Amino acid sequence: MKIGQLIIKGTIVVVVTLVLVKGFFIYMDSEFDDDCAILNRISKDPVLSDAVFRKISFYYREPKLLSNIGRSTGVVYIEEIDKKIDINWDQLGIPKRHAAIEVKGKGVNYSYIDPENVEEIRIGFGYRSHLVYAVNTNKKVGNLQYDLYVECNDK
Amino acid sequence: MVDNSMTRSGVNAGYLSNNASDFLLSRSSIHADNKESQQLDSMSTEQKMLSMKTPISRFISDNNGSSADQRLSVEPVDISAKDIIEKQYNELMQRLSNDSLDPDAILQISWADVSVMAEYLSIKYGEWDIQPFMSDQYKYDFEFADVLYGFADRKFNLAGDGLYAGGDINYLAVGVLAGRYGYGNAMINALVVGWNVNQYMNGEGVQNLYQINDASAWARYGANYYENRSIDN
Repeated sequence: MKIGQLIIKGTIVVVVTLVLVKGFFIYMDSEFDDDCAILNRISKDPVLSDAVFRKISFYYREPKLLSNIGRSTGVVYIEEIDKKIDINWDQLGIPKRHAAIEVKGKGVNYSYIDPENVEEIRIGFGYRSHLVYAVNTNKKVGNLQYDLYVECNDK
Repeated sequence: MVDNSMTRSGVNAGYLSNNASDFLLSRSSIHADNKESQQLDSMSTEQKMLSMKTPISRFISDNNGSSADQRLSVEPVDISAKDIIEKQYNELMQRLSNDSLDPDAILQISWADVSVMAEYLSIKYGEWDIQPFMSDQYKYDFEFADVLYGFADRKFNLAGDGLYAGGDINYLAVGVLAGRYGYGNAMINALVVGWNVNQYMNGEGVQNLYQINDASAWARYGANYYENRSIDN
């Protein structure tokens, strides 16, 4: 009987804890736009998402934009970049202190980025949630074309 | 053989569940035991900055063997403690990035690397304002408190002391930020448990529950590091 009572009590404690935690987060998140919601909203606005891409693709071609951060690859926080990027992060809904960019591609090195080698440009929250602009190399003559999707990762 | 003993996101769970908390917390005070660190820590921020003022002439002398006259003609440039830690942190991230090209490799980090990460985070978060509890900025700050960018799914061999998942080590950042807010262990544990239980209930996988113990240990380590560092300062 004692073991049975313990199991019942334990189950009740676990269930109540889970309900309280869930209720707390539902309440606190009721008016909170999480990262995925914000990025999905941008991705579904073709004018806005294209404007972001054009702006970033303009900047990353500048040789000195990412050359002084001490790394040749990886996620770079916007605040780490000396040069100011003229994007209104607040308007996008991305807190500036968490806004990040990553340029990926074969042999891409931040000391000098050859646009021909760029395969992906990622913009978003830290390293976990991004708008991913996958550059379509078949259409890369003239204006860059891309496929756009959202990637959200767990901690 | 190591792989055989690993469970849950590649972490030696038995080892961690028994020892991680005490082990990590005892390690977090190592920087205070180190004589050189004590000397640095005992200085005020201003003294630290002054001690690290490095005339550019020194680099010219070291690197190019310029004459004294040439050196005298060059204006000094300050290199702050922040610059040095950022450089060390970026070098660490670059090394891990290079090492991670092998998708199966267990990445190697030392306790010195952990100290670099903790100090980098302490400086960064130390500049942030305290936000109202559960305000949007508060939530963003804690949600995106990370340190091993892009390596959450990788395994790390920490100086032969054990295998850790990158996703767990990331909670070092949560801990340092919690330290910035002055949170105690109970609040830190509540944050980690609440976050991971919520993720589990959102259908993001049972690994979030398995992660709680190790993640809490890393978070407490980070908070302890920040707290000791603040006291020393």
